[in-house]
Amino acid sequence: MGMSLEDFAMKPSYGRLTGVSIACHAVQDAYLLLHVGVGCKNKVTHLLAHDWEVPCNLRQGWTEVCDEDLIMGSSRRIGPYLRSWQERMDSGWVCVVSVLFIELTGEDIRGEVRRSAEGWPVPVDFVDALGVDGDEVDGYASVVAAIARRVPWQQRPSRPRQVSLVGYWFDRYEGDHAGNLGQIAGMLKSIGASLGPVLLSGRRFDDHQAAADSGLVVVLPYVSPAEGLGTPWKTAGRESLATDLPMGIAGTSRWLRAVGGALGLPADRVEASIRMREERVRKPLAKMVGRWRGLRVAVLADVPMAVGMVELLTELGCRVVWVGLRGTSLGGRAGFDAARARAGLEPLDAEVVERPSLSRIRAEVGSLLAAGQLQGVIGSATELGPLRSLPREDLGEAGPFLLELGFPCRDFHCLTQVPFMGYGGVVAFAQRLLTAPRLWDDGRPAPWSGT
Amino acid sequence: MSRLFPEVADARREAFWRQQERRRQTLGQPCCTQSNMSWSLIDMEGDFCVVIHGESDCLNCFFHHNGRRAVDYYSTRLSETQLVSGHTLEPLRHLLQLLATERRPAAVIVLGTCPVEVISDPFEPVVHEVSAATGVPMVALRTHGLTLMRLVECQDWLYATLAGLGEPPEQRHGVNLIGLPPGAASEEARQVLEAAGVTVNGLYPNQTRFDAWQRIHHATHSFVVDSSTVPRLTEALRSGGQQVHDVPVPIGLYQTGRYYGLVGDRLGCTEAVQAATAAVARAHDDAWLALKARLTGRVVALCIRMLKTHRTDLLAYEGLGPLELLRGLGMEVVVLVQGPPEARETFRARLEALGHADLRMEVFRGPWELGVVATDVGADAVVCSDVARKVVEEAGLPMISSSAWRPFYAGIPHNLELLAGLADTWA
Repeated sequence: MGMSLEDFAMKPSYGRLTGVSIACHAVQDAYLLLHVGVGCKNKVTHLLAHDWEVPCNLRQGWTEVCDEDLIMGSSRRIGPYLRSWQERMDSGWVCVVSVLFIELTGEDIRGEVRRSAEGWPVPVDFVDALGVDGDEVDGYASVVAAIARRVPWQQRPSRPRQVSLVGYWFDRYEGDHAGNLGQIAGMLKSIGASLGPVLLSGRRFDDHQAAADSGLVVVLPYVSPAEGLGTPWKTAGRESLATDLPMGIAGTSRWLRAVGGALGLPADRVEASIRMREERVRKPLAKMVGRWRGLRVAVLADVPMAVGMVELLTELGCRVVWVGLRGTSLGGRAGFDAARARAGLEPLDAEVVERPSLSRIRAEVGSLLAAGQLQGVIGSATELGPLRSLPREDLGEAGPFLLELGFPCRDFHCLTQVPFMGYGGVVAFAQRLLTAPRLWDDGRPAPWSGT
Repeated sequence: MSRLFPEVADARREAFWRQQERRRQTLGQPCCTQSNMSWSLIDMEGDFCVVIHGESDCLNCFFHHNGRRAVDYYSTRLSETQLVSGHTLEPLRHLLQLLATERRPAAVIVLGTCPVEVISDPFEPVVHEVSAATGVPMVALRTHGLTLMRLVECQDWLYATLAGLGEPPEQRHGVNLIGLPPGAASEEARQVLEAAGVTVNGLYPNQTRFDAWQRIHHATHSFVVDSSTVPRLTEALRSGGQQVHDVPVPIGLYQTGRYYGLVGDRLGCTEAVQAATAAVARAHDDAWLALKARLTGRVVALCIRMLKTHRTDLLAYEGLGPLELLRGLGMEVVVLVQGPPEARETFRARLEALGHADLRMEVFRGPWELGVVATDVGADAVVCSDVARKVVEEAGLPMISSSAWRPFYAGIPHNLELLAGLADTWA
């Protein structure tokens, strides 16, 4: 069967190159050298709108490829630019990417990078970022894999109760991720463990080496299977545990229980911590639950986030009626259902759509909104964008509430810790529900006017 | 400069960098024409679709989280195999036919990309063929990022294309105001001219719906902010019988006065225009003089060639639009050009050609060193792209975004407020 218009239409997910740029941004002293076309540079600057704390463009460079170079050979540009940028930026790690139209010329880009970087004081990796398949998660995972391969896992873990995460999606230095990582560190401490280096979490490149000290590596879903990383850390007596995201009250408790079990910690201590923390969350929620209970919500997110967010919203008493699963790399509908089954949850009684286009999101979510069957929509700025052109007369004075979650956020930025993971993430999200902006909050200035 | 660019001396030893120096450099930001056209159209209202003929990731080389039209963007999603084997036209034909039968827009714009350009994909005949067969107007543009076209050239190409979609009018009437900043302040020009008895046919390009471009030929005159940046559009308007006149970027008292003066003069209604602006033109004198007393002698770095934008008002006159506003308030302006230091003389020659041989100029290579360069030239404040906000703030300098200025007399209070904010930080 031929492709449909929906297949050709723009989707909310990004390509590998954007994912690579996000991952490089998540390494404090990384440098991303782009052996790409001038327009491809824009694929790596979406972060400028998303991260207001650390501008991504300060650690990115371009080899200024143009038509003349394609004829004369473009790969000779890589060496001079690598040397020049290293002298300027003193990076801890350099990542080089190329794109399809350059690869079509048949030049050995990977070999040129290897030759140019011989004898260098810092590691240099070439990472695939072609734009014909995969998504941003694949790109992100390929950088995680490149960094993970450089960790000395063969050494015996010196801190058996230290836990490192691999595949944490760190897309900005703002308070949401600081909050998430703070939640995770606090939970681990409460059961007698500690949080070690997280791949990735905004640390310097060399700091990731200490992940080898950890006795347990928890693999989060953003290590895309397509990257073929495997479990190189599962050596020297180190344990490996694959988990879903610690989101929602029950989801967080499951995560903590699984980690405690993998570390061989006393179950009663873990359960005591869980009891105390669950109670500490439920109390404040009970004070205002009536304000959000019963809200009918649509969720647009990648599979792990959608699984976590649906469970969290359900715990809060909201009803999720439409789910749009983003991207190609994390299992789609089957992955969503499998994750819910792992959690012991029933199949979701809602419309679950794989890879909806922006056009379909506008049509289907717009139609639910117009019919009064939805009060709010949760998704990234890209997924919420199509709703901004819905006819206002159909949707009431202020329209539905919109909450930005995922990459990129245009309007939602966090100066303080606003986690969406852990027990604190449930309260923080309930707080966001209480103060959620509406589709038409007229009079707000554009948050980031530059392009 | 040696402290700022310590590696230049070493780099010059390499034949590679010597060759780089020979590359022609212009003041404007280079762009990918596909990326820039897609970006320009993403928030335009109207019943049209954009097809990007290439790999799917070419849909991501512009910010589509901000645009209302992203729902009407499509990609042929070519695979590596299709590109290598040359089987690229069938997916395009199939997509265009689907659009014509299922979506049926008023127009389809098909944009090329680097991969299809590398294989010299002959896609234009397919577009024309499907358009003829279905009756849906379709236009094919060989856009890509290989030739490093300047942003303004690309905008010109797009506008000339959009203007070309319109039918010639039976009668002409009114004037076009082209190249004005977006926002309510530009509406002042419409009100002033209509008070002077002049009908405004349209404000282009920034406040315009897609279908408004089809009416652009209906005017008798077009007033264009820096027509040198839009030669194709200018030629299209002239060849259609319009008179085209250059006007300045109307930011600040002096430039706004010149703008209205030129329009009145060319239309033979100077007195009427003067009468229509008399009250508003004097309304800001006191505030202007008071602020001038606070700003005189201060040094401001005006950064150009760093702004990635599709707003022609920001690209006009190489981005020097606010120059006269700043100088009119007594400030010394140092122009900071983003680009390779080895192109310094080219940049200098371009400034001289624009009539600004007297301006101090320095080159900086990218946002990361803007703070150092601005400090070195003695700047008290910086006008630059938002992408450098953090760097400038870390250097302890107040900044104003390049895109923050508002036009005409209506914009003066806002502009003065911005500049007063600088003075407040020094106090």
